[in-house]
Amino acid sequence: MIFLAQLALRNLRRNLGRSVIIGLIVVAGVFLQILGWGLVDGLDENILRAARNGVTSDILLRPEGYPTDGLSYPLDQTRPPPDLSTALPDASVSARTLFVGRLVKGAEASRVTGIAYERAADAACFPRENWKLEGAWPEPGADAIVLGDRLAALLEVKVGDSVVLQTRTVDGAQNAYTYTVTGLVHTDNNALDNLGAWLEMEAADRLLTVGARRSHVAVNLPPFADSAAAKARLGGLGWTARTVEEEMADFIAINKIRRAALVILVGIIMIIAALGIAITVMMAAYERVREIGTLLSMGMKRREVSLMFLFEGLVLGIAAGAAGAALGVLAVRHWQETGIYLGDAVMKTGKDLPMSAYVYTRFAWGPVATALGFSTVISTLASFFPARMASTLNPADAVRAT
Amino acid sequence: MPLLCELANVRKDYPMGDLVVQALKGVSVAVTAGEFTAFAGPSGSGKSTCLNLIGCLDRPDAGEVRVEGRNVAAMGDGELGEVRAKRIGFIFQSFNLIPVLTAFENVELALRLAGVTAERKERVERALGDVGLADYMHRRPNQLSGGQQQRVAIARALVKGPALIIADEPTANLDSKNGAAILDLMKQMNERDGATFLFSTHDPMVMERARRVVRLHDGEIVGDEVRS
Repeated sequence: MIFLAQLALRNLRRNLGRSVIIGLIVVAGVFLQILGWGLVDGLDENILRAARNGVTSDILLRPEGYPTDGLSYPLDQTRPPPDLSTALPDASVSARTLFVGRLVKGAEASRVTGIAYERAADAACFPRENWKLEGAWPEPGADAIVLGDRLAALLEVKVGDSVVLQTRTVDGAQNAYTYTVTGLVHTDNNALDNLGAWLEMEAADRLLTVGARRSHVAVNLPPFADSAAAKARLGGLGWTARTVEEEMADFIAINKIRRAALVILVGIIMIIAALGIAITVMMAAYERVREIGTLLSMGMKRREVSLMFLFEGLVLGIAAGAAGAALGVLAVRHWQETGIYLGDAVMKTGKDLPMSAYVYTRFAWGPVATALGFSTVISTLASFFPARMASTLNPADAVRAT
Repeated sequence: MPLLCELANVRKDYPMGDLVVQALKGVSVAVTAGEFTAFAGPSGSGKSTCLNLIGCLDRPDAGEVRVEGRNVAAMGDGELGEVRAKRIGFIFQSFNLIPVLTAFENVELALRLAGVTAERKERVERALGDVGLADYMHRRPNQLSGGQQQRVAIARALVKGPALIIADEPTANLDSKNGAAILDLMKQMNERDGATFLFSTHDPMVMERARRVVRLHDGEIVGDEVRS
């Protein structure tokens, strides 16, 4: 068996150019499969992390009937937040009021999503990992505001500038208030960077006049808590609870389509690779008819001849698969640390994308094992027919082949 | 000398499209151990077909082929392979060495396939030494001349100590000097070790050196001459 494998290796070296070309296709297929999987997993994680960090935490509650489209925040549907201390005694809770406004700086103006929050509760509820703040968060009671850095760049606002925030009050009256910009924040959420304006509840209430009414209640659960079970305990409050996964379901569903497209793409590449391996092994069998005849005449068993050619396909598939897997693992691990920057153009186009401009790939052994298994199975199947064909030659004819 | 192999009223046909070519038309011949016999005749006379049948590479359509008493037609593929691996050595017109193996490995391959594990290295070195290639053991076939390649093929055929060595036009691809040297070597092995050699040829120089010449024409034996 070892000898047959050695023979297969030497025969592959004999047609090195051909083996390398087919091997490269397998390398590309396996590499793309692992990287693509890591990227799509990373996108899922990116979207969920961005939501957890600044928008939904683990569970988000809205008053019943309140829209969930993320485009309108009707103040007339706000209501006093429920007391969750009995249902979820270990959770951190932040009640917020979100509103749509217009931020004016000189002659420039832009639509914003206002986030009115209570500092201590919000800090306990939203991890804000990897957020970068230039300046400071507003002190309670101060007429201060923090803006997303892309929004600030659009309006050419700097820390210390004054801006006017226009919106409607809870009663539907037009109102405007001047705030001092105390900070510019770069979050991991493109929508917040482009549209977000944070202000303390007390300062926001002077503009909105909502009093104790709130539009959203975010719940941060202890580590490893079951969010579905926690959500189940939030019934009958007059508020609708959704987990972060449910909140982001549309985006995750798009990623499922991406994953399906990836499977199709990799499938096509692997079919090309399989055909390549089949042709390589078949050409090797045709080119070596006399050699096969010699081996058979010397007493090599038909099964061994078949195995020899099967090994050639397998060695090619496994070696190239391993190389592709190694490259894939390196790439996924690298971009897991550094992230892939999607570019300003993408972020400007997708202003409302609730995700970071940096996509961090996610490494898992599952896709690596799947890709390697796939390339091994494909190369075995591709080699099987030519190997069988080689083993059925008549030695008396084969030995005289030219 | 004991009977080694025997063809009794053997027929062999080859379909060629709509036609059937009768390669052997009822050939009978017996070979005893230790012979140095040439099957001679023009192209298409049936000499290679005879050797294929004796060499267990093919089965007859009619008649009986016996090798060391065993009926070839009654043996399965596996049994035929085992007989070829252990009892028969082949030398081919085009040398037929495995190009990715060295001279040493080509000869060793015959022992591997025969299931020999003991003293393999020593036996291979001795066989290559016997054919004068002790210094060329680690060369690949493409680094050897035609004459040297055929010597490796002889060493490969002889190394396992077979009962019978079948050589299909062994000098056809060699110049006269190398051809003569190869025949001398084969004859020397025949005389020294008692190895039985059957070879096909249409070269008069080769026939001259054989101790027995079986002449074939159009699938029939037309002469069987034993020389002293």
